[in-house]
Amino acid sequence: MHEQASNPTGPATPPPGYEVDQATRLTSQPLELDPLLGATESPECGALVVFAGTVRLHNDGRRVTAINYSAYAPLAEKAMADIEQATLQRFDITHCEIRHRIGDLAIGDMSVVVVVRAVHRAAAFEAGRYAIDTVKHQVPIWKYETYADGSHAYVKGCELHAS
Amino acid sequence: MPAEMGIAVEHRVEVQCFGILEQICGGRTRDVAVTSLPASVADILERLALDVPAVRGYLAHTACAIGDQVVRRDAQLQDGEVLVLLPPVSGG
Repeated sequence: MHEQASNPTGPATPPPGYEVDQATRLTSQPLELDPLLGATESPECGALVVFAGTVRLHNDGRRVTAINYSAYAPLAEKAMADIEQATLQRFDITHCEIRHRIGDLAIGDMSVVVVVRAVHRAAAFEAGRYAIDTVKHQVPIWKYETYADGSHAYVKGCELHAS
Repeated sequence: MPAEMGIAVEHRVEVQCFGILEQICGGRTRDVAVTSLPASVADILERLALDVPAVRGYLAHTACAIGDQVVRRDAQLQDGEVLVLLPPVSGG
């Protein structure tokens, strides 16, 4: 149910995604929280919600040994920027920042970070949940897992639609 | 020989495949031949499926993009544009 297709004889890692080191929201470098916390710091805010997605050891009952994220960078960057703006408009918050990593990640590495600041906590929690849920549905990024038995698979995902 | 004499002129369209489609097509970039440009996204997908039959079963769940816009199947691809195929996404 989990994976879309297995390829036991395929390469352990597909070709890397776009080189995006110049981009702002998509990066091949390890994600860092401190710059985001510093950039969004505000004395008017009483709430800070951080969601970080991390690579886990087991997925759908299978042991994961390696993971690779690839992205269609032009649309991924735009989609994340649009989600930030939509989250700011939908909730009573002051900041929303989203970052996603691509390339080869290790177990425990952060793959995605959402930082939300608001005057009060209720809006911050709701906005953070909305932002990460929307990222999973609307950003063209693909997760490719390698398992302990040597097989590989792209993880089943959500369909994109033309607006 | 000119096209008006009955010989179809082929144009090459660059298609970029991501996710599972990259694996199925054997690489991220693939050229697809079309008889005229602009060509509809639907026509290009049909030609791709003739070249790579294993793709056909995935197309119903695949979005298409030109640049940073997700487009419908009736969108027209102009000369020099790249068609990007986006199967279901799994970020996060």
